[in-house]
Amino acid sequence: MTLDAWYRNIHERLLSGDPVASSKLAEKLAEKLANAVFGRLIRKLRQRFPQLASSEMIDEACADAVMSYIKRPEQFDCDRGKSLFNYLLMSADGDLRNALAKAKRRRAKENVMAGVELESVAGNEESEAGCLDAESNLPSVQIVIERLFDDPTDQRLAEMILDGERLTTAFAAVLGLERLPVKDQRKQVKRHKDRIKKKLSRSRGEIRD
Amino acid sequence: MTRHPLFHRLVERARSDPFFLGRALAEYQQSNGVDDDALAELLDCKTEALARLALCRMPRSDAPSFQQDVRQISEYASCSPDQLAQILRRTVALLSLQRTPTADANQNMLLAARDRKGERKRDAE
Repeated sequence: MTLDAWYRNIHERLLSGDPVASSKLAEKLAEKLANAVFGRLIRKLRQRFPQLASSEMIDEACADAVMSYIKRPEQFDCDRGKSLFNYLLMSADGDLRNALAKAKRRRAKENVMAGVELESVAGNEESEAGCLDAESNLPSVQIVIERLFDDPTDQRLAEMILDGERLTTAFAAVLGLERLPVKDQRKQVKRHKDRIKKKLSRSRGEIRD
Repeated sequence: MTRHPLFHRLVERARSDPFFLGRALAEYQQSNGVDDDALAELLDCKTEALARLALCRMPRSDAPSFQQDVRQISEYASCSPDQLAQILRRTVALLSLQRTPTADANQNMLLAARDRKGERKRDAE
C-alpha cells in the first residue's frame, strides 16, 4: 500500500469512528510531520523571527494540527487533491503564524506601554487619560486601515503587510487565488500588494507603529 | 523503540482529552494510585503499549459497539480485553459518580437560595 493510500484508508476509518485509527495515525505522523515541519518551518522562521522560532512552539503547532484532524477528520476533503500530509502541514503552519502574530502584537503593545513609562520617568506629567491614549495607539492602525480601504479583503491585505507577512500563499488564500498556477498567483499577489503598499505609504504619517 | 518527542506530546494531550482513551486511563491511575508499570501489569501488556492505548478513541460504554471496540483496541495494543473493559467501565462509573454529587449540591444550593428569597419576600409582605 502506498503512503497516500494508507492515509486515505486511515481517513476513512477515522470518519467511521474506528477506535484505533487515531493511534495508528499519530504513530505514523509523529515522525513524518515533525521532520517536515522542523525542516521547513525552522529554516523560514529563523530567518524572519529568530527570537521566536523555538521548537516548543513548533511542536505545539504540530500537535494541535494532528489532534484537531483526528477529532474532526471531516474538515479534510480527500477528494480535493491535497494530500493529508500537506493539509496538516498547512494547519500547523497557520497556527504557528497566528501564534507569532499574536506574540508580535503583544510585543508592540508592551513597547507602547514601555514608551509611556519612559516618558513619565523623564518628567512628563502623564495623566491616566494620557496612558489610555497611548494604549489606544494600537487600534489606531486599524482605524486608519478601515478609513483607507473600503473592501474587507483590502483591509486584511493591509493588515498582513503591516504584520510583515511575506508568503505569497497566505496572500493568495485571502484573495481566493489558491486554484491558480503559482506563477499567476505571484503575479496577482504582487499587483495587489503594490496597490495596497502605495496607499499605505501615502498615509504613512497617519499610522503610528 | 525510541519515539519522536511529538508522539509523547500527543500522548500527553490524549491523557487530558475525554475524546481519547488516555483520559480514562489517567483517571483510573489517579484515583487508584497506580503507576504506568502497575497499569501495564493489570492490562497484561508492555508499558510501551500504554501510549498506543492512550491515543485510541474512547469507546462509548453505553454503545452497542463497546465490546467490539474494546476487542479491537486490545488486539491493536496487545492487552487483555477483559481487563481493559473492566477499567473503562469502572472509570466511567467513577466519573459519573463524581459528577452527580456536584450536580446535586448545585441543585440543593439553588433550592436553598430560592427558599431564602421566598422567606425574605414573605417577611417583606
